[in-house]
Amino acid sequence: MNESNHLPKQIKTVWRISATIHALILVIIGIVGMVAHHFFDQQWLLYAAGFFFAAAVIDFIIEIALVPYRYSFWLYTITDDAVELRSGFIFRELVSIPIARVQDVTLSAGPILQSQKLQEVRVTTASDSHTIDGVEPEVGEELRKQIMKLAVEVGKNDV
Amino acid sequence: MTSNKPQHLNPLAILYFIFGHSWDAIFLIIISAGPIAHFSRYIGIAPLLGFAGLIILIVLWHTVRYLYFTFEIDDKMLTINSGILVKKHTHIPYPKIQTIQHTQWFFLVPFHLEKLQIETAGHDSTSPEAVLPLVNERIREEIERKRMGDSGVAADQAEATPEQKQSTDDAANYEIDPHELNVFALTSLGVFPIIGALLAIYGKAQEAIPEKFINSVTNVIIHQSAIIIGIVGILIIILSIAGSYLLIITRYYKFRLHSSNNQLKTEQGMFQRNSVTIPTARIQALQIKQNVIRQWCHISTVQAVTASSAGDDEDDNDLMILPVVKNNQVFKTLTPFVNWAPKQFSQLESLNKRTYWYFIRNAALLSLIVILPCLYFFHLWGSLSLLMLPIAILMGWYAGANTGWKIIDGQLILQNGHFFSRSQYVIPHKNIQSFSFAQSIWMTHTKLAHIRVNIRHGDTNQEIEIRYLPEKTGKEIFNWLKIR
Repeated sequence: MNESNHLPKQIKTVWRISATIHALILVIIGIVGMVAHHFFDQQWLLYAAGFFFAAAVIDFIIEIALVPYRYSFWLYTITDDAVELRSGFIFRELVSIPIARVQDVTLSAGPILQSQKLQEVRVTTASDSHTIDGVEPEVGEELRKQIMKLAVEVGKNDV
Repeated sequence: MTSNKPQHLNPLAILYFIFGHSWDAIFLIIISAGPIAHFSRYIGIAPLLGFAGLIILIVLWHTVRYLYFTFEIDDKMLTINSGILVKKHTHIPYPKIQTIQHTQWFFLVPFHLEKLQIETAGHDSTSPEAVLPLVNERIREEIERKRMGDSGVAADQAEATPEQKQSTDDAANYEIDPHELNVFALTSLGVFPIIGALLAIYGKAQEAIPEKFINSVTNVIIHQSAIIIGIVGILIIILSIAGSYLLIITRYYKFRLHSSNNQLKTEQGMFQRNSVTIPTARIQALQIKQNVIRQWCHISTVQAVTASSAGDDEDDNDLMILPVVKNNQVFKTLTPFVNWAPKQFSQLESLNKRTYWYFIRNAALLSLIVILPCLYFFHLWGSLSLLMLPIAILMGWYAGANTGWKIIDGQLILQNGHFFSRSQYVIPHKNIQSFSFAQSIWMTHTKLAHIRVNIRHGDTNQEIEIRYLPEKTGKEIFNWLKIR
């Protein structure tokens, strides 16, 4: 379990669904603008609606286009004593979170993640927190076990 | 001992509550002015009487608040009960206390009253976990005694190292040298933004004058008014320097540092004495700061990065340990207080001179974001913004020249420069919460990398970044950080 892992394949679907939802929210705001224009006859409402439609299209195209990029350049590794997150191609960053510093781990799943049987993992240290967008439930379980194992050490070196 | 029963604050705290909420009260009076005047006339009393009634209501409200505000000091924890409609009970176990801060105005000294703020490492609120606005000094002494008793036991459990045990009995004291404080106040860069703002006003004023007077008034008068503006400008600059000087003097007047039982205690201030107590083991990192003028004067400032927001409100919540100390004395003065501090300044590794170019390039590019719109929109006046370019280049050079790093005895020392001020951080390995190694795709060719380290600071995170260091060194630091 020491080699780098890609996020599960299903995460691409999750990202595509959430991109669609983001775009839909913008479209709905635009439609509300159009409806308001119909009732109040204010010219600026029409421009605002147009702006939101354009934003929806651009946002959708960018988010969908970036899905493969995000998938191939976002890797995580869980070793015996650290969680490592590697991201980016143009701006590369390798983040390491020693498990001994982890204060808590939150596993959560909204409806989209649930439909793909995934969980979002949020690892919190005393100062910051890091998110793994989606993992299979077994990985979350393993992380939880390792943190429990190292919890003794945390007691000594707490803030 | 009667301390196990709920205790009230000092009755004068009612005044504190009223004063603290005076804006609410004023707002209330203003918005209710109309209705009260109307209603008073309607029921046939003088409007003034109506207002008196409102004020009595406000006072009563705060009196009730005072009556409902109690605290208990028992053997294991401090409990604070407050709230009239929504009851709130805060329990703080003594070993979890990070800092105890007390502030005392000079006029409260004869009454032995002070404001007490107690903080833990919890992130939830931006305000301290417990605030006792006005209590007798003995309350703090009692809490400190309880905490010391408990933390002694905790230290034994955590298998204190021999040095720590040795230093348990050592007490050390330090008081700021008035001469050094003077130098410190005079070398503050705090006046520069004020001067900048004044120059901008001066520019505006000069611009306005010719428009109004150019046709009707002779050149002599224009000339004279310019002189007057000049004099006024200089006066304001002198005043602002004096103001910033006095501010620093009153804040750090008779700054004292005391340590005993592994607890560090600072005390400072002229009109309002402010004191913070923290266990030395709870200090997350040390920061040694110098602005460019203080670099020339060979003096430094030492601050502690802590997990609570006690300390200076205006100084990023850092806890001041030594406001001003001569460079060659820094660690000699520091080690009696913080036993894990290095014994002397280490010779840091620094960047290759060629790397400075990246800092200079980035700073210059950033300055262009301001300069280009200025030139485009304001033409001639906008060209004044070109002055920013050499400043930005100097800043980039400064940042590059002051970047340094070193790993020594389980501690990482990082140094960087920002806006003509240099900070050196001494971070024990165990306090680094997470870290990262970053590189852009171009930097993989130039073999450079950034190292970022996250530590707990106040209620949030502080990222310390060392930029453009050689890839190999970056990997070395990263691998050292990975050691458990």
